[in-house]
Amino acid sequence: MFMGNTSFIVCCLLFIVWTLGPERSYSQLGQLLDGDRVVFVGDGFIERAQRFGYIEAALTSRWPDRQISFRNIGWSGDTVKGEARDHYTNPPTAYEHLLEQIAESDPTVLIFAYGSNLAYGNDAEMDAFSDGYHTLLNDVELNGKRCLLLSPIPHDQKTSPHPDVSAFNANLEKVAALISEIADKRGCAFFDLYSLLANYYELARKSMYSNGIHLSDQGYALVGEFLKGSSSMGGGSDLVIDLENETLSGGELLDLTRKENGFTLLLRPSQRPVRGSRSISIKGLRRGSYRVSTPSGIIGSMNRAEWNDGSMVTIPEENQQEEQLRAAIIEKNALYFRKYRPQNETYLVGFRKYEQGQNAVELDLLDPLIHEKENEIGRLKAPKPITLTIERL
Amino acid sequence: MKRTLAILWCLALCTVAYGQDNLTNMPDPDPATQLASFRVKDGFEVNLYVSDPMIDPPIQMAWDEQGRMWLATSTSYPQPLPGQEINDKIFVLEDLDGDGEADQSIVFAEGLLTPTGILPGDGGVYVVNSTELLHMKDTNGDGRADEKRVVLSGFGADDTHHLLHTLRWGPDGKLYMNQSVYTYSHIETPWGVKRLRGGGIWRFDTETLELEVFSRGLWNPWGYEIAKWGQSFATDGAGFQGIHFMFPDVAYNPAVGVEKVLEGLNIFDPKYSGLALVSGRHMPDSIQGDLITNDFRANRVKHFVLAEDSSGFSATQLEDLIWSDHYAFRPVDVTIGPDGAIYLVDWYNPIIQHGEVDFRDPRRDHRHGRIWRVTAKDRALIEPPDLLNASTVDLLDALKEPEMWTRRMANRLLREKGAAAVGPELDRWVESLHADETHAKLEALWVYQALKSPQPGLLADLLSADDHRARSAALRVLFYWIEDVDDGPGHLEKAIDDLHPQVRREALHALSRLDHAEAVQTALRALDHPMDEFIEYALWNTVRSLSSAWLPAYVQNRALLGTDPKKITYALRVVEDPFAIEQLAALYEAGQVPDNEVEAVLQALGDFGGAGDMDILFDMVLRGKQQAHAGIQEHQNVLLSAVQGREIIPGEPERIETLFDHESTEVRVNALRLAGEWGVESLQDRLETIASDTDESQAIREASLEAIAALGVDAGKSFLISLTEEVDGFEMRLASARWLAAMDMEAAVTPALQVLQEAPTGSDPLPLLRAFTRQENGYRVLADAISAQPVPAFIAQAGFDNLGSRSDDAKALKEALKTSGAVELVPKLNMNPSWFELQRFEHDSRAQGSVERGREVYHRPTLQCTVCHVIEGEGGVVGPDLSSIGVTAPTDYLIESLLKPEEALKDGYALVQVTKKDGGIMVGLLAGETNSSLLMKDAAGNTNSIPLSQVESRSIIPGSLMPAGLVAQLERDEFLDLLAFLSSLGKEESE
Repeated sequence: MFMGNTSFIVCCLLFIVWTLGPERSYSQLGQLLDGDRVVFVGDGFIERAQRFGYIEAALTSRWPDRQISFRNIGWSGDTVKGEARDHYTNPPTAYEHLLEQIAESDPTVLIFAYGSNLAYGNDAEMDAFSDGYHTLLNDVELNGKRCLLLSPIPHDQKTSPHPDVSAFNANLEKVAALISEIADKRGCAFFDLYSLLANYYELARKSMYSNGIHLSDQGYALVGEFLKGSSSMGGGSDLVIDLENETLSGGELLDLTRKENGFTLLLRPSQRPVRGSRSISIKGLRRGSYRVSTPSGIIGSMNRAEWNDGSMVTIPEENQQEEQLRAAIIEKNALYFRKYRPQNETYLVGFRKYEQGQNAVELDLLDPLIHEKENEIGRLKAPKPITLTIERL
Repeated sequence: MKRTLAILWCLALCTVAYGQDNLTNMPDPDPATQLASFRVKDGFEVNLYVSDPMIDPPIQMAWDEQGRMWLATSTSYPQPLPGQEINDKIFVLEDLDGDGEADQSIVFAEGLLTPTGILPGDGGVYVVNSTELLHMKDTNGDGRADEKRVVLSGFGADDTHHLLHTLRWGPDGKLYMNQSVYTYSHIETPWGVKRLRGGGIWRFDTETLELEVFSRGLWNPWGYEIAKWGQSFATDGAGFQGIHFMFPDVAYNPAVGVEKVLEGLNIFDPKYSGLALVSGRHMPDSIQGDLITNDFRANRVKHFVLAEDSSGFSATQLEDLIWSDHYAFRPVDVTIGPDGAIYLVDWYNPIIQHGEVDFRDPRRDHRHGRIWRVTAKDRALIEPPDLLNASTVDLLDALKEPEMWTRRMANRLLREKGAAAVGPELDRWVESLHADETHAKLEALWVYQALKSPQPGLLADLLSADDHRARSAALRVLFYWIEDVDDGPGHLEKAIDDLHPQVRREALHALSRLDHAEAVQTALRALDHPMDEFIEYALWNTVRSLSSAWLPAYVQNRALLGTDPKKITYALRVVEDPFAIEQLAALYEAGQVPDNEVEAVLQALGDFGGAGDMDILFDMVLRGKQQAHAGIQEHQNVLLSAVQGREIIPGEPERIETLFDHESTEVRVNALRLAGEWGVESLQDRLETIASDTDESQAIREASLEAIAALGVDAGKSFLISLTEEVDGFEMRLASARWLAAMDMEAAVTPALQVLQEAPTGSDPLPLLRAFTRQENGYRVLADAISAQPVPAFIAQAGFDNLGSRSDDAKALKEALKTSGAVELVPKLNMNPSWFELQRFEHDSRAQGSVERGREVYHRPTLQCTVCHVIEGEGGVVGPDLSSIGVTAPTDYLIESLLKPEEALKDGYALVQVTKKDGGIMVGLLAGETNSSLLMKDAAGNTNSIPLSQVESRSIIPGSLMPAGLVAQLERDEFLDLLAFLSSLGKEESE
């Protein structure tokens, strides 16, 4: 129910986003490459994203054959000056802490999301933000790294307890434009989450938020799909099965057995489904109605013409795998959270390390656990062979 | 995977256990043993409500409307191991048969990370999950959470014993939450990003997500409770000021970003955790309204009686409710239960130190925990009301119950029903109240507030109530309703002249909500009445927060502040605004500042005055003009403070030369120092002349040297070097080397070593040595120099005995001094006693120690105790007051403090090292921090202010201001006497 509706809206929005400036949006970031380390840096939008895992899951399964790893160092309330990363003592100052954390996560691709706090800001603060962003981009030494700047998302009146968010959104719209300019100047890609979410609400009349300023589960899923789309234009997940010629487009046909009243196929799609659904069309069926199923259940019953034209279906095995992948990503993020924001940081590496510094080694002991999780993610990201049974009714 | 985990566990567990505590024989964990160890105040008894294994180690508890106890627990505290599943739990406990013991324990939620706060409400339960505030719900009725929502995120987790904690519902329907000192929180809300750096109390509206800071500071505010009339109190688990009176915008040490802090109600009382207010028919009348808190360190449950004291409160300690020598008894939280009994969370653990004992010390307990229940003997328990099924009217009637437990719960349930459901019946209920049911009216007012339904009529009624507590509480509500009532300012006009100071203090707070300039006139009327520290704090806050309204208006119209010099002066001096300070300087010059304000005005001028203001003071100095008790010297001090703190210099500074010949030595010294600080290079020759003049006093000559060093020109350096070679008096050579070191450490090495080598016996090398060690890398430079070129043994000994920190460079210096002949004192006492020896100290002190002889030992000048510690008002103020140390500290803690002060030191007495931008270093106690400066207390007890602009970095360094080894010179029996004396302190009153 939700899926189908969303797919339609996603299509509409993809179109809108393209018309908003597709060239610059995506071409600069291009695609993620084998060996990439993608680091998400920003405020609460990024911090909360790690608990949902959608964005990483979407980008992970987009290139199942490439080794790409992700680190999230988001921090609620953070700014381009790293304001939220301060401690009782310094050094490091909040800003030094931000730079250290970026350096330690060893990025090849940086995805920044800053500026949401300017919803409450004034012109002077916007100027300072712009300067601060440039300083940050200078200080992270972008040479050779690719970067994507995300605009903040708008406030959502429907779920916000604030009586009138329009002034905040007017500011955020300006911030989005400002970030777009910064991205232009710095050769970074830019993605306009502001327009995406604002337009989504216009189209779908459906809130993607939990509290007016932060996205819900569905909201993050939507953004994940879009970011994936933004770097994979034209990558279709459609499967076209030709029974007569025994071919499959969109994947690899591993086995095809003809049976009395139908077929059994073993196939491996080359792409993961979008938001859990993909289009399957079956050519070469004889007249009649056919039921298509996988070992865990029926995925559709339609007549020959309908299968021939293709239909959006959901394959339970694929969805289970997607959920397992996302769960593993969330667990990996929870482990990394303990590394970049360790409890008792004060005693392990901070100014009271003379008391517990001997235990700081435990932070490094998290690394093998994180790698173990990444291996699990690696196993879960590749499309798995699916057994499809086509039966004539 | 399993193998990896096994290795990780092993690595983590095998890390060196270097606990400082000498616990080797662990206490018996049988609850019966623990219970038998309790000494309970007469008239009370204790029973075990629940124990492990029905629960995990408990941190905090809270109650729901069904009378069930919710418990936040942790087995992984203080730090989960790598590879350890994050799986701390919330338990729900129920006493089904009413026998005072829990018979049912359900794990409501698991998979949590160090949950330190819990509170049922809004159809579920709020849980602190390290950096997040969660709301968890059971939607299918199986008793377990199946829905989890992140309500707020971004709380700091730099220290797990400082995590967000102590969740409480206020009668205003808001969720109050505490955080501790190292916690820096940055919370995104739909109303803005809210930041709280350091300790403080948040006030949170769970419906609108509006979040504000209620108060700032306290080291570990592990207890918070709101009393019958809305006044609230907090305890501190690390400061030494006992109970604290809390009101909006108040700040206590070590508040970050606040210019002014108050003191707690019990100065030098030790650490407390948890806080409950006795309320309800089960407890005897004699203790109604009293406070119960826990000294977890000394295994005691404490009892305080509260009394109103002008605009604040006093809290007096009574006999302990429970005392135990079972040192794993660690009461950390306390509440009054639905049956009227006192419930105690016992974080059963032999180890309590968070940082001081290794996280992986095997003696840390991760398994046990108890809840104890304290009842009054021979008094009926309270039959808990059925609030779960209560109608609106029943809930309203519950607001009249004598038990605060019932009233708070009813208040919350009414709020959760919503204004539409409750409003009409609430209106009728209020109408049915008798005129004298003032407290019931206040409860109704709070319910309206919780429902966000302003009621100007009821508010006005309470604002003119006979009971000042009702008027105060109503003013707190008015603060939030100021735009909803017709004549808010009118009410405040009246309240500011109220006969009761509590009311005037609240009126001042409410005034801070007004946005017009004239409100400052109303606020300043508080000065027409008797003042005290609390009311002055509120006035200070309000005049400052109103300044954006009144200062611009004052620029246009000087009549705005009226004609009373007292009020004008006060307003101008507290706002830290250049224009206001200018006006203040002019008033001061014209002699219009009241005598008792002079000191505060001079302080403000020194802290915030600009060059023009310094011109005025400089002029007064040159003309020798006196103002009240302040003369040339006081004015010079302001000029010095302005230039040292902020590099503010008056015009034509060279005019200072005229004071070089002043009759007063003090004035001359200051004048010379000013010349240096102001950088009046044209006076270089004159300074050299004075410094070389053998007829001048040493003080004058040294001041010239200091000035030359401050001027920092090359000629001065050569001059100082030449003086280190002069033979006219060794003192001058030493002083020249010292100021040369301050000016240029590298250049000073050779001359300084030369001077030290030729030093006659008896001269004091410490100022010279410290000129090095107080600079960055100074220890290293000195260590290298002395290693290469030994100094006389007496010099080495003086350095060895008096210098040092735990840094490697300092150790290197000590080694170098040893090679120069310094001898390490062989202690007569065993400074590293085993557990057995420690026990012997304790037993022998009880058996043989003499309090009288111990008193004599304590007062020996060589021990220096009285230099830093106060007993009964006598002594220094650098270290903790020892007047009641005998009742508050167990003997093993006293022994540890004496033998290894650096390891027994507590939050608030940790040494802070500040490195200044000029490379200078200051070491001392952090006494506070304002928006513009750090306040440091040095070993002499002086508080120095360092402008933040000059602070390069700061860190807490190992060590204590209490020198190690002071007691090493004592014979064993003298040490036993000293212990006996310290253990006796405070006992007379309490027994």
